[in-house]
Amino acid sequence: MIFRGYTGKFLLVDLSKKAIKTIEWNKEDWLPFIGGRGFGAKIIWEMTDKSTEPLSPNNVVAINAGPLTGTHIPGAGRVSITSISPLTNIWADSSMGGYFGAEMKHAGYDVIILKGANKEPKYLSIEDDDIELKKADELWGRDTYKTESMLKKDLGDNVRIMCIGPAGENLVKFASINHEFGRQSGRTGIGAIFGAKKLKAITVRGTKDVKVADLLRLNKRIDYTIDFMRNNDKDWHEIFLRHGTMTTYEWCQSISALPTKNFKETEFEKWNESDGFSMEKRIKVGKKACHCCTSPCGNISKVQHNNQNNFIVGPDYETAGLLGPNCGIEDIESIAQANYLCDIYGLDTISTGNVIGFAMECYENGLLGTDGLKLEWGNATAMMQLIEMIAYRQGIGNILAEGVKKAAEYIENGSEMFTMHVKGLEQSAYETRGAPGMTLAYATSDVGAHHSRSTIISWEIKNTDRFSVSEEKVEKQIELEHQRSLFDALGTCRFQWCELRLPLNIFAQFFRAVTGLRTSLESLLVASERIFNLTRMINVRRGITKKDDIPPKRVFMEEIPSGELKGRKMQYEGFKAMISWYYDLRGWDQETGIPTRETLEKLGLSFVL
Amino acid sequence: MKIKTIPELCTSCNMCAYICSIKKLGVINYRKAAIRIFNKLPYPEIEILSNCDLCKSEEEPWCDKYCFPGALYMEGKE
Ligand code: SF4
Ligand code: SF4
Repeated sequence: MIFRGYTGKFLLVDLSKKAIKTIEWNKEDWLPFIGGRGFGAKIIWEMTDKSTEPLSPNNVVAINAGPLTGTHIPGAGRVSITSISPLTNIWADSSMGGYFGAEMKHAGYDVIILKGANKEPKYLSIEDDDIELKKADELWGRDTYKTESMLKKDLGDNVRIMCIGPAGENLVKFASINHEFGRQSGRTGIGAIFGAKKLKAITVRGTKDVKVADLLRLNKRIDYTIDFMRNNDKDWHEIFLRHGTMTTYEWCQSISALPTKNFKETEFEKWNESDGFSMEKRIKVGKKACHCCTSPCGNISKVQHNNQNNFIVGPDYETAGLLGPNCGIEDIESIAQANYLCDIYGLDTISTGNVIGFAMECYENGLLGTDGLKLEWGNATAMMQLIEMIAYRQGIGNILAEGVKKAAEYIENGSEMFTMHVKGLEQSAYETRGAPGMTLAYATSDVGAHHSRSTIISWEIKNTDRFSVSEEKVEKQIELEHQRSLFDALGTCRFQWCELRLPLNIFAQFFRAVTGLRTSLESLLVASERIFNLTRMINVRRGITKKDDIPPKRVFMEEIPSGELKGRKMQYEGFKAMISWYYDLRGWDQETGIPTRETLEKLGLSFVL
Repeated sequence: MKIKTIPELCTSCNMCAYICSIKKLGVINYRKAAIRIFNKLPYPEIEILSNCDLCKSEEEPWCDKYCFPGALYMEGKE
């Protein structure tokens, strides 16, 4: 069959057997899952089981491009990387910008699937149909910048790379995968799986054309898109171009949702020392975009490290919020430096900011011996040191490298109260005691407390009584879970829609122009629902039930101590009502939270029964 | 006339190269373009190849037209 948009092929690499093969996938089985995260979910469902150990050779990693990936649609360079997470022991999925997905498509693959493990450090080299596992002894132990530089020196500047740093090698449970000196697949610790598989990097060079069904129509839609984004709201476009996601920083402070001192507080006194304007004035030197993106959110900032000038693509809002206010850090320079350390060691900045905030709160309460390290709020020097200790698992770094949930089980003495996570995944940078919708969004997200499934907070604050609990909010949340997830299935960035307000229907038009299929937006959204239910079933198979759909304890048990929302906390009754509406609307069982047979059959997921 | 570059403004988006391959050859393949971007920090390297014909049938070269950050411009043109 002739594919357009898709390459029609998976690359399957068995590291243990050193066996490499390509698989042609068939339309009937796979198209209902669109691509990207959807393909990744089906692969993880089929190739892992309820007892697959995340760091064992049995675990599988799928690097999934989508049907739009590799075309010149702005931001269509993405991959979703999927697996079973070493941090949460459930479904793992982290989307990564940059150029890697596009390069995979040029090389001829929709998905790269990895299983087994190398005995010695290796990297996987893909040059179109030429695939080879190559020695990585020289690279092992190197940081991500050095690794990429060495590989580019060897293979040429025009190769695309993803790699891990020391944190991944040392099996830090929230290790990231890094790409092109500044893009990461950060969440859920897939870097540690690479480490366990002794896979230091993947390099790709593809020379094939990306084939689309109707190039003329696609060009027209892209022209419309670019024009729309630039002219729809010029002021907003300009500020988004200047600050990227750092625009969220000021907003979160203004609505009292800025994670401050391990999410204890929700406003930060010195916020304007580390917001987008401070970044712009003090450290920013340029802009960086993903594949064909005409509204780049990436800021290039300069960083001082070991008395040398270095550069990062960052900080972005999540990083700044969590490595900044959440640890009491006041200045943008320190935040950027911590960002740099996380990038070179290969650590997820969101989890790292949580873990350090957690450690600081334990320290404040005398629960954590730190061998003389003064882990006081705002102590940037101690923070830098701790990041290194985590990456290399030194001293308390070894405990913290397990993530907040496991660390608290070890530390005990009530430290669990300081763990901000859902299902083991540390929370991203929105505090939710003043936003019940967002509380629910974290609780029901399939990977744990991450905002990428539904960031309903902005909608609920703008359009509703923010503190209210209502079925309307739950409905909206489910709608967002399907809309936002669609982008990871299509393999393109969602900011053009959710930040720059491009109508959602354009992406269905893109899909049709690229694939030649006559799929409506509605059926794409049903596919997104199908994917969401499949990842739920992966979790259910691994023991997740209603009891796990629960926000961090602090949200119910501690009032916000200061600021605009002083005295607020989430009411348990309200949460219970929302989760009940949620299960109802989703067709999940009220008692267990498991999708009903009827729901699964309706979505064409009978194969999981 | 020729295309001049300002690497400090280039975001490494690669749109110029993609659009060049589409304009020149009707295919989506940045490696077949007459312009190449090498992503570096802080700023990329931009290379214009000798087969660039400045899109002579068009009012302006497409790479320039699609480079919104303004990293490309035509020498001798306002
Ligand atoms: S908006 Fe940001 S994340 Fe999205 S494609 Fe552009 S640079 Fe990448
Ligand atoms: S279009 Fe402009 S900003 Fe983008 S890569 Fe080309 S020269 Fe750089």
